[in-house]
Amino acid sequence: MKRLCIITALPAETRPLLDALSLQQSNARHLRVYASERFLLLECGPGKMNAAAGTGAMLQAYPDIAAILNVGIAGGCQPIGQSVLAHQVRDHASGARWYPHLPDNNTFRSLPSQNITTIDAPDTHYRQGELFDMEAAGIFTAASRHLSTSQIHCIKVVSDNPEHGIETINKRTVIALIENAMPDINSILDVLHHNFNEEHNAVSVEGDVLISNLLQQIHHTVNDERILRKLIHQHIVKAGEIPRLDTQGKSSAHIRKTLQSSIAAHPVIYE
Amino acid sequence: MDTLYIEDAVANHPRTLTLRSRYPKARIVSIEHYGDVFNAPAQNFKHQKASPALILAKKPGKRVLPTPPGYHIGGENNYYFSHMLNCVYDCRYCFLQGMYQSAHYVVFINSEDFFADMDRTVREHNDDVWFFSGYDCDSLALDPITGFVDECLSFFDSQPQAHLELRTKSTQIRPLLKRAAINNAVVAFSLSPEPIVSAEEHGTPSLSKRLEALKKLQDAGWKIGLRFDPLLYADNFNEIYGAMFDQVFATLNMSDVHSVSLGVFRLPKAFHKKLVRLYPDAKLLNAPIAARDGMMSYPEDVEETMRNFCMQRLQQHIGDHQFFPCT
Ligand code: SF4
Repeated sequence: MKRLCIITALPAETRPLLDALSLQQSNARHLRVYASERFLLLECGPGKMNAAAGTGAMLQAYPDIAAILNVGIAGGCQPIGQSVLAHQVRDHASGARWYPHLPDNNTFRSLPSQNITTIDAPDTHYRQGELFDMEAAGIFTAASRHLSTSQIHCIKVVSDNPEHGIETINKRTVIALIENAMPDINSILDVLHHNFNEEHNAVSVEGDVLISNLLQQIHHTVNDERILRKLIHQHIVKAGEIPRLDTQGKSSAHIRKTLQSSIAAHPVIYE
Repeated sequence: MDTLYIEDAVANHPRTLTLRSRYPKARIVSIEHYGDVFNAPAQNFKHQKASPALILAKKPGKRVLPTPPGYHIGGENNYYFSHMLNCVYDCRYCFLQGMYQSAHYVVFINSEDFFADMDRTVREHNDDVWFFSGYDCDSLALDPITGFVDECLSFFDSQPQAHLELRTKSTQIRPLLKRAAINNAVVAFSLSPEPIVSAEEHGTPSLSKRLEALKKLQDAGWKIGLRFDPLLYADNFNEIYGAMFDQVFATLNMSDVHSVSLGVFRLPKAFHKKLVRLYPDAKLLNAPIAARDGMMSYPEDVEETMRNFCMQRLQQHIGDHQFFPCT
């Protein structure tokens, strides 16, 4: 099972998630990572640079991450405690923008969404239709090199607004805000988990098992592996079954030819 | 439609306001240029296809372009235009999935500029000019939302020197049936055997439904066209294509069909690669496909056998003047 990765910036944002998702500290060099069977959590530290560096390193260390959810606090004009999804993330300094693809789903639909602008220093010029944070653009910069914009999302909880300024934020209030937003965060995580683990269907699992057994038995190059994978998959699709291969003492070229003739022998029938 | 991206330039256009009112619950995201969303890197076509957004934009620059060589149905001066990009259907062989990063639908709101450009193009020629729609989209499928076809037909009704082809697989023919047929428009349906429709043309109306729509249009006096394109390889090719032709000939008055064309499956290499990545289990990939002249296609002899079979069947029912082998 591929895991979802939650990224927070501050210990106070992390703490409620550790309890709610039963996460344990993990051994990852230079990174503050917590893990469970379903989730990874990276606490990247505050600011865009930390966020980009941490996200990049995380994706190197755990290349099979299914999707990323940035969870944190942000300033805006919405009521304090409101959970808001990002439909656009903008780096204020560079002007770069990302558009997370929000799935057509009741859970996602039930939450408001806004532009999230990542700034380099706290700002109190609150604007309608926009939230300020300090990490989202860093996360998108690094994550969009590995994942699609369907797999990178951002949910922020409003921590300050024109009525309750930035000076009212402290460790205790941040913990309380994230704790209260847990039902929203959980439901988003459920949707992402469902969407990004569905693709691993039975055919590819069977094919994967066959290919890993096969590769243990023969000498092969990276290119051989790529071609064999493709041919086995094609065989499963066309013949509707896993190929039966005699690998004893056979070269990868021989197995390739066997697969090719077996595929060619199966007709393409539309019925 | 869950999300509407709206370019600032068309935010207050009356067509935008009408479209917005159809989706009162949609998220509205303001954007500067449709390309910021549509051409952005790191998009997942397959995920977007499952829940596409609508992008409302203004089409700048050239809106009417010359067709590639060979793309014609008998006219000398041939142009195409795309009032929208992408398609509600999901045909496995569709070149749009190779061409675009995104599966979102772009609707160009400034129809008036398209008509002005067509008008200008017509005036540049002394004889008839053909305009093909449905190159980057299906001409009718999203029409209940865009309402483009009705305006387009009114334009062509006033321009006898201009000819229109609407290319579609959709049975959304209400805008055509509700008005009198015009002489300078052809409604061309892409047709495939039913087993291919089910396996490869996801979300499209069945062959029977398309033929039903064609029959209604023909009975109402509209010129119709048949596009057997792309022909797909099958070991039971003669059986399934034969059954399709039987159904076509039994339903339509063939001597009255405006034009018929055939085209064998072909995809640029890069598009084919993307298809393999997106849908490795697509049945059409099991056919003998190889690179030839920069395109992925069937071996020449296979193509010829497929084409010959179809031509033989067609020639029994249509005249040479109706047939355009490869548009
Ligand atoms: S109907 Fe045409 S444009 Fe639409 S998906 Fe199919 S091939 Fe592509």
